[in-house]
Amino acid sequence: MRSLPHIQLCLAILRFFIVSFICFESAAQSTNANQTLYAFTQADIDYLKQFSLSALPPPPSKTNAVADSIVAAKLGHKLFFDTRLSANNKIACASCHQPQKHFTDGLSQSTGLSRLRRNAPSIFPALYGPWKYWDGRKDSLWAQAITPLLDEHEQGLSAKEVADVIATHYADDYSEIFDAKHIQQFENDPTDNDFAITILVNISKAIMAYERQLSLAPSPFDQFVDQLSQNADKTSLENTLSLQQIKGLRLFFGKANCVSCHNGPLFTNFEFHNIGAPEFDTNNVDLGRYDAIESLPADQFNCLSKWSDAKKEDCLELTYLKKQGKELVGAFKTPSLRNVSATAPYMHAGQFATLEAVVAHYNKPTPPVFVRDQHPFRPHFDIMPLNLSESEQQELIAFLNSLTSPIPSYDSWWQTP
Amino acid sequence: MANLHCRAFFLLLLLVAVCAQADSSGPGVELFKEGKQLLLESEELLTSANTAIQLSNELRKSLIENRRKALNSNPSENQSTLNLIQSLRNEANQQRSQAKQYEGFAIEKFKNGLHQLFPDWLNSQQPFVGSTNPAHNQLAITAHNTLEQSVHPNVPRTQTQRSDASENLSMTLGAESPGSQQPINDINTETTQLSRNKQFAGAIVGINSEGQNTHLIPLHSLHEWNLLLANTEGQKITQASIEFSGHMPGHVHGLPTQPRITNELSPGVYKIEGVKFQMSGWWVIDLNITANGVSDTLRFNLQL
Repeated sequence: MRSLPHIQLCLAILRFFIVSFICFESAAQSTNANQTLYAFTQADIDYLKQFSLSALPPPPSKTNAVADSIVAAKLGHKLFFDTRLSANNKIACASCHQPQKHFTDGLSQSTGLSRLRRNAPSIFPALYGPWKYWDGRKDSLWAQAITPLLDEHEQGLSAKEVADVIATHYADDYSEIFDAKHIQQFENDPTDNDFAITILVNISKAIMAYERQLSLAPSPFDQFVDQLSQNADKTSLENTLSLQQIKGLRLFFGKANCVSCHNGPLFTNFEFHNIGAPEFDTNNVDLGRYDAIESLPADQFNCLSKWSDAKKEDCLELTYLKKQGKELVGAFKTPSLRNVSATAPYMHAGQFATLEAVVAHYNKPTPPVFVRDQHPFRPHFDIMPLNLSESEQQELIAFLNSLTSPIPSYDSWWQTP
Repeated sequence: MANLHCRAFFLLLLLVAVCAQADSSGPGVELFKEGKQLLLESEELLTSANTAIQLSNELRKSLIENRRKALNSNPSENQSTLNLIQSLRNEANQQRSQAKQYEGFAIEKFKNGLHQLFPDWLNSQQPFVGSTNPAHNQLAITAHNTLEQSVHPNVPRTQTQRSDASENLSMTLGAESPGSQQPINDINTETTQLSRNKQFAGAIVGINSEGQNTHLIPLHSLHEWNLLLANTEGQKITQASIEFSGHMPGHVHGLPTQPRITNELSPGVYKIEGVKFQMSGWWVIDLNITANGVSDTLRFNLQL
């Protein structure tokens, strides 16, 4: 018919308008959806504020009398970087806890004089929580600082050798803070181990005082929470956290439920769980917390020991230590997720090299291996599969990136003294 | 002479009567007696209910037998037997619920009795409530993956379900907001309970940092409780050996510390130290008590 081309033209134009209308509508809807992703209610903001660094109380210090002393911190700062405190004169605390790597070393398992079993944790989160190390086998940061000094795999000294170094190089600094006669006593009778241990304990307390001077700068997540509390406009919010990171945030606190263990300002609940991280060496399985509860009550430097400055009533965590419970087998302390993107590899023996591997493990977890002749009980398994899609996993990782604080260039405590 | 003897005898009687009075007027003893009486009645009701159930079962069996043998094909008699069975069952159910009610009354009596028995240690008791007061300096909010479910299907699920955005309209984040969980229905969270075999009545009291009684239980913070213990006669239980254990139904963990009874502050008053809860929710606390050769368990359900 003669009108056909006209009809076809009209239909074509109509089709064009319909399609463009649909496209426009869906684009508008997705922008609306994106806008809602950035919209948080007051209840949300109050909830998120609990995770901000500003919600962190000062770290506990009852067992250490010099914990807040700047003079002690300065001595501790020097000792932290001093390689003379090792059997081969090459290893200091800073060898495995490097400031530029957020006080880790980027290795699966640290290496001092020889290779260790575990991954080096960062220092700042260790200021908090009642238990130090992956298995919580020490209950104060100074007791922890003593261990690498005396450990044959790490710095490999004896108490006497440590006291020697202090007496030779740090006698004045030591006498400024602690009793000068400790050095004299030690030099008069180097065989009396108690004199050596006195010096060892005191310098470890100085190292702890140094570590307490470290602080984290706000990460993009903290800035975001601050902006939310101040009702910032959407553009500033978008500049702080990207859309992908917001989606990851909503997964972290929602569907993926990471927050059930990674909560609080340091994103850890300091509790011990078994999440089925692959066993590094099945001939020598790592029992984690289960081993630590054996050693804790008898520990020479625990809260109740004579070297601790705490009163008995300040040591309740140790007094009422949980020693029973099959869930302790192969259980490790929830690590802090602060700076997680910058502190690969992950897990207690650095079993996962990337965050992608970690999230993939949580997504479809494998239960912990049960080695009958080494595990006292079948290990519990504390996580459920997340079943996230590929893009959701990427979003979660993007959110975790927002927890990285910038390394302060102006803070002298982070520099070599 | 006889008059003197009579008078002396009379005085003796009076003395005995007065002494007997004094005995039964000890603090709270009346209440305990009433409570014990209620328990006995409750037990009688239960026995009677059991008998009724047994009888109804017998009748049912004979009815089925008769039907099978087609002896008694008289429908009206069958119907009357059925009616009898049903009424017996109804009566039994009624007696059981009444028994439970009496037990509740008994516990109420024991609660008031304990108040009178331990006037310096107990004030008005409310069920424990988890406190997320920032003054308690908590660093963590919950303990672990609360999707973990290992409960028997019969355990009510309200506690193990997370509130998500659709249920909690004030939050867009799908996170579990502590304190928003619905309390379990039908769970008695009273802090005075009767032990499993009805040997002991005990009350727990939270102690705050000022040493005062409180029902606000801080989370993530070590704190103390007092336990007040008596038997159903109203006598304080002294020198008992007590073990403390706790868990959350449906969760794979227990308490994060090992609380202990450290001291008997006063006859029947025990101090429990080292209590800590790492998350809110439904906790079950079991106290295994052994005293004077008698062992029993006191169970408290807490909604923190």
